[in-house]
Amino acid sequence: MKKKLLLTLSIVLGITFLSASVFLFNFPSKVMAKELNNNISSMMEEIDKGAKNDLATQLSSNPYDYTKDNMYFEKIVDMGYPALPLIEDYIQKSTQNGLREYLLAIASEKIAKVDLKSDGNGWSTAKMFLKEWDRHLKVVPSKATEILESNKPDADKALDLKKLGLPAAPFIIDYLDGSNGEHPEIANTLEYLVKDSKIALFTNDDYSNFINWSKMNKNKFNDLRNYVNKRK
Amino acid sequence: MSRIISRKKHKFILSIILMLMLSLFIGECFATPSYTSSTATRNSIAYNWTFYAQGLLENNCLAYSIGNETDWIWPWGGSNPDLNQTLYWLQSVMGFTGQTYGSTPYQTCSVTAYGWSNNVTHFARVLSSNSTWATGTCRAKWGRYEIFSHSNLNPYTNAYGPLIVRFY
Repeated sequence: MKKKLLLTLSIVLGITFLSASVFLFNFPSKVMAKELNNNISSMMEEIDKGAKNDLATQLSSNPYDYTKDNMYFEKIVDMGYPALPLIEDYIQKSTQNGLREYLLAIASEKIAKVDLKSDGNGWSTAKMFLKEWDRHLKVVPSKATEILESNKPDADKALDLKKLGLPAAPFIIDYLDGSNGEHPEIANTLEYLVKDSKIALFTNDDYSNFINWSKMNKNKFNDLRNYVNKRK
Repeated sequence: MSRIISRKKHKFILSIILMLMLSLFIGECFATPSYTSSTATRNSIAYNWTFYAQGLLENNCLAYSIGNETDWIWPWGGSNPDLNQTLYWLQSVMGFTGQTYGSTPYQTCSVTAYGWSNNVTHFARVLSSNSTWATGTCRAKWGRYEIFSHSNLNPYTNAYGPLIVRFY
């Protein structure tokens, strides 16, 4: 009798553990996903701690107030591009559309260096952010090409490309490939977008020998390129 | 007899384990109740208040004021909106009509906004109102705290500020 009970208990606990693992770690990169999950939990714990000492913030409906002085929010941003698909997946799969998800949407914009609310008709919840993000990514390849091939001066092109954010980086690299220092303003934009992305390092010094830099680093942007292109 | 008791014990233990398994998944899905504020905190925020409901941590005042009791809604950026930005969103996007102080006659309203012309801080859901600026009752989610009812439309201290727009 006891043996039967122990066996049943072991099977049930085993199924529980397996299901929890699949449920909680159903992400492409398990280590990155675990890091993200830990940072998300810690981010919310920091906010909960604030409930005792910071009345003004806890009364606030402005989600950006909860990102201030929150080191775990900054850690999520510091994860760079590799966290973006995971954050998108997290918000999508979440059954909630609350503050936590909203903070992740803010983090996504910071990582990608975009402002999808700038035209006044932006998103107002995390789930709405996903739609705007998807819509933005869909047009990045064509818009980047249109900007780069236009007759505008490079300085204007550089400003327009900045607004597309990090997703435009692979397409800017394609454009700069084969150039020999003729587009320093666009190279500046690439430097700005790629900085802190955790994909590769690029500075203006690298632009003086772009062919070499491209040979060593272009492939590192394939994941980002695919992430953008899969929206078409 | 002892076999029957043993089977019943077995079933009881199994049902406890299944409940624990279920709670593992449910814990990930269910929303969290709001923080509980002290009486002193409540008195520092509003001149009149009655506790209505615990509410959810995931829900903010703007969402609650327009009838959404589960989400966090915020269409603006890092700074609180000014009066014009508030009017734009609630009128042009959400379809309300806003009335500021002096734009009489005041219609029966459903949402109120609080703060100052360069810093709108809070929103409430109106329960009753008439043609007098601050007469009526309303209910609001206080950030990550609970939901409170108020006996007039201008109940807040400088924690949230005065009534600034009525929306119908």
